Amino acid sequence: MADCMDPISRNKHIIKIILSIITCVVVILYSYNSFSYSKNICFKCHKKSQFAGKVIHPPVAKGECVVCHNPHCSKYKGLLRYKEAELCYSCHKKEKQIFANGIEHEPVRKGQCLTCHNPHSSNFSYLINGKLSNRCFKCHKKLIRHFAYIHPPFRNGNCIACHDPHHANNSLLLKATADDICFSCHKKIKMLKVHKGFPCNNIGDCLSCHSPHGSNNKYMMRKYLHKPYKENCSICHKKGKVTAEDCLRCHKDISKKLLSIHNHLLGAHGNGCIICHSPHAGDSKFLLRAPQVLLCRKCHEDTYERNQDSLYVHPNISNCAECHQVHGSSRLAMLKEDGNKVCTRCHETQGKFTHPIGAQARDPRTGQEMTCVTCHHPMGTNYKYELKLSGKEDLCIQCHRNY
Amino acid sequence: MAKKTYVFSVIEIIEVGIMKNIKWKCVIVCICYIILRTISCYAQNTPWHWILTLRGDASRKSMDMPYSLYVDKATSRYYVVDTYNNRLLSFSKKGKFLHAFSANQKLKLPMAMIHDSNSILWIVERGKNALVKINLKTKAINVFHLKFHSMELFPDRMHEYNGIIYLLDKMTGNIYAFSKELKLLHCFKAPNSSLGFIDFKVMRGALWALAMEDQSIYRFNLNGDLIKVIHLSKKMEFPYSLAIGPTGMIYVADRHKNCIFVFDGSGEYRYSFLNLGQDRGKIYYPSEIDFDPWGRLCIVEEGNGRVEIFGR
Repeated sequence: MADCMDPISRNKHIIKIILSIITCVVVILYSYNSFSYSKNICFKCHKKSQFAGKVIHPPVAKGECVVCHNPHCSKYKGLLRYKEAELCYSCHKKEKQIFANGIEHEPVRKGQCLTCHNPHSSNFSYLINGKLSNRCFKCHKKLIRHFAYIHPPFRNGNCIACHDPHHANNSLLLKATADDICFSCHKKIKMLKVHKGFPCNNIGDCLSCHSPHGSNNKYMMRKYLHKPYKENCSICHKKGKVTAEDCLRCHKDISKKLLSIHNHLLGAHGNGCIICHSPHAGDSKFLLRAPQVLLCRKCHEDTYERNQDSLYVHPNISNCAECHQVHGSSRLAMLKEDGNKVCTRCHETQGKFTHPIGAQARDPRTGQEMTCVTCHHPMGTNYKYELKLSGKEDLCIQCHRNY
Repeated sequence: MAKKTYVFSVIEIIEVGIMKNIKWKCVIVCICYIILRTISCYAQNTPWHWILTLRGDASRKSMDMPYSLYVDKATSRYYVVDTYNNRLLSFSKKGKFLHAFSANQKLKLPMAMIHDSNSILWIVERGKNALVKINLKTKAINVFHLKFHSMELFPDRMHEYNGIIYLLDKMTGNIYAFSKELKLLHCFKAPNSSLGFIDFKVMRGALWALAMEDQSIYRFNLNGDLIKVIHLSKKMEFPYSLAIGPTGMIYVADRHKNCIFVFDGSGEYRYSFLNLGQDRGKIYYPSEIDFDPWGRLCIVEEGNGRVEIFGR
């Protein structure tokens, strides 16, 4: 081919090759210089011993500080090149994709990798900031840790035996369904032997009786027992499946609440009660399967996320039942009462002296009664006082258009 | 001169095209075709536009927590179930308020209704947990507490198709088909969803049901056999109601996100429209969506106490 070229084209071709080689050499030298720069210069001030540990982040080990830090200036803390998670995911691309599915652990969702990991070095695997359990309990302070009988993984601080610290497809970030996790250690055949007389000779729903962390009762039985469970299983387990109707036969006050526009009869093949309540035992008086906010979050993940992502949120929002009627309500969003009464139980002053509200004050846009929730969204907004729009002007002119 | 050569007014082009040169005729036809084609494409992709709103009665008593809508094609009337006010409101096709019906204030939280050809009203009443049959001619009222295998049903949504009544049971999340004599004919179950269905529609010889848990549409034949499961490709927050468009597109109302998601027949996400608000063309806590016989999308809004009707 080259023989066919005229001398001018051949020279041009050679010049192109030489230029490409020079460019490559310059790039390599520049990269080498910048890494060696960080190797040699950074550690002059930042003592190398600060980055020592059993596990060292590979860029640190190679002295490639500039992979993450800009040595001159940055708009991010620690002279980081990008925002925390953005920087991590620039290398850990696979993880970013995996975490995007299912329920994310709060720090993962907020992109706060450094809540659990040390980006330089650690004496613990996966660059965890200290011992795993200590790290978990730093946030999960309310978890009771001292019991007479403790589940060994919990005692050993091996939280990740059951929970996934990043994301999961099951609530409570469980790695699999609760039963699957239990039976991965406690073999089903053995368990059948010690659970004689279990309906249909099939055991399951372990957490409806046992506490997964620990208990002061033998066999880690939960604190409160359902009366029929304590007395005689056959009170509920007669023939066939136990339905919600069976539950409501005793809990008559609840059946009245279900005759509301919205209720939490959730299908569940005939027994929606056991989605939230354990039919056997529980750690709370109402035999809830989990603390209330976690229980509600199981289905209302979107509401929880909106609340977490909002700048302004109503305080003490973890007790959903404070404002919502959890079994059934004929008011919007299953509130206990209408949008005024439910708020003025606490906000007494605003109930007496405020923008006109109530049956006489109508929203000109819809003709609906003006209530507190016409302007406020207690689950959280990005405006002060949980207003739906900016209180300076934007919100008011929605109705007062002539101003 | 050069400017005059290249700058034409529309009239000049038409004059030249029609009167002087056949070439120009072709050019004008092509341009018109392109413009019309662009407009029609744009119209297809444009989100729906507001047409009218059904709200309150003549005495200006607004709706409170309306839950569902029934459209009677024969009489060209809309019936809105004004649940918290314990009444049914009827409107003309143009949105004019006609009547309010409360069965002498005997209705207790009506949730859904059917008006059949024999002047019989079938109403699901949550307050009684019953299906109520009202003969408008004889004024006779019959209350039925439905059961399936000795288990009490909790009727919620209701539709009629070819003389069969289809009811969604909240207790099980299943849909049951009853004859007008209330003989149970078929049961429609969601095999993959433990929570069952949240809404359904019956049309074109099939039953389409929405499962909130796995965000899927289940298509059954009318004998209760599952034909197809359509997984919706876009994750929604709180899918609450579905409608099947005249061209087979699937519309899903997201109650918490306050918008309508649109999917094609295979469940592929196409677009979403509308958002939260109280103004015209905005929605707040939609409880049901459905197409009327004239191809218009009707959205029942619990939060805003109205029914908004959109067209293309």
